[in-house]
Amino acid sequence: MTMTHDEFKELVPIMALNALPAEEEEQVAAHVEFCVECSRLFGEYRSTAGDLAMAVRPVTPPADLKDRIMAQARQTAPVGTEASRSQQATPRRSGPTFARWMGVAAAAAVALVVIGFGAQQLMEQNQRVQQQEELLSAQREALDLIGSGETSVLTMNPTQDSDGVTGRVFVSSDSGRAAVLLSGLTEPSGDSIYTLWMIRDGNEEPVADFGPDRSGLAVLSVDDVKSDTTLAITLEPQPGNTSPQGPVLATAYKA
Amino acid sequence: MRTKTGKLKKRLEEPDDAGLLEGILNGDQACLSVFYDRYAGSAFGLAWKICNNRAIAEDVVQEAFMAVWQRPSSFDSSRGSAGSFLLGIVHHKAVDAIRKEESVRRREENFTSDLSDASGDEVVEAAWLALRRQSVLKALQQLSDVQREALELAYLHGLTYSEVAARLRIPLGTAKTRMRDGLIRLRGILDESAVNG
Repeated sequence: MTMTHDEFKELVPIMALNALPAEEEEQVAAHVEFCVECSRLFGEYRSTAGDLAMAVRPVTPPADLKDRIMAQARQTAPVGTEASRSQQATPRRSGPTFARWMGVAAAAAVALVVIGFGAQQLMEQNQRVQQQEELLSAQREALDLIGSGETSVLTMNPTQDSDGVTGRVFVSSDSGRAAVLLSGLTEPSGDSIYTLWMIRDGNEEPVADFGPDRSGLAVLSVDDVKSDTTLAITLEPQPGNTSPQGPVLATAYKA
Repeated sequence: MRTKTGKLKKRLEEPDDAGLLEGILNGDQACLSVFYDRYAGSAFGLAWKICNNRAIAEDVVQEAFMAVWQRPSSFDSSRGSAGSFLLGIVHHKAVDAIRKEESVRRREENFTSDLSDASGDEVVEAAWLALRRQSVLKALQQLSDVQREALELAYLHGLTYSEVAARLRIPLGTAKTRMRDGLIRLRGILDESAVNG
């Protein structure tokens, strides 16, 4: 069944309460991912739902829980820190690193506890929820880059060389400022680097060389995106190229 | 603990969530430790309330703190407090857990309000946290009885809107309306009380 924007919007508060059945949540989450207004509303309602949780009386957790959490934290650096960047330096498609094995071990420990009641499904769902949250967070970051006002959304269309790279471009109708949100990126090997290009009037201008975060996401800003402009992502053999040499992975056209 | 920056040290001495998350973003485990001390009781209380199983609640809380540790940049201070951010993660993970196994929850028990002061182990609650809890309870009292009941069933018992409708023997649309209106009204009241101090 196809829902309208207003119908989706009515379900956003229910999703913020985690009270939608799985199938419906999937549909609404897919809409929220692409809808600027519903994405903003979801963030606000989610925060209010978190406030609601403050009404529950605190209960002292077992003394060793903190030890377990701190021990796990010592094994895993937060995304964005120097330590995590060294973790990211390993290509995502290579063999498992120590940190990844630790992640597998931690997941296995959780699986042992919850085995017998759908452990695999639970982990898959948790992974899906985490990916969704990361994507929404990146989208908020993208929207913050262009500020408030009327926004149009373009799709980054993958080419045959995209290897899973997709994305969207949020363009402010007022300022012409745009934010590019890319997903499905992998850590380039060697000197290779992703590059965002702006193409108009037959000229190719490099906007930024960039790499993905650990979730394979990247958010970039571009100023002055006028009509009849193409944005393109390439994988360049080295940083600093002034004209594209690598394969084109995805493009978006602003009419 | 890093002591290079006097600012961060001061924040730790005078607890401030934004400073703690900034520290976590920099990989400072001491900040995670303080953040845990501050919210573990609320997180565990919520997880246990929803899961009705101590072991699963512990796992949920551990996963939630690790999610904050690994992606603190997901937090957007313009959309609420760090505590609400953490508890939102706890809730999602707890609901995911219970929906996988009917037997670990109390779906069939008679519903009574959970928003009282009379349950759970005693925990030494920071004064500011107790005040905050009181302000949320006060805001909830301003909702209509049917809105509050629908929100409690959905949020604290982890029921879907169709389960809420079945439990209350009301149409699906009515359940959705009560939950939606309740949450929107709660948001307005809390925003207003934040503005008015």
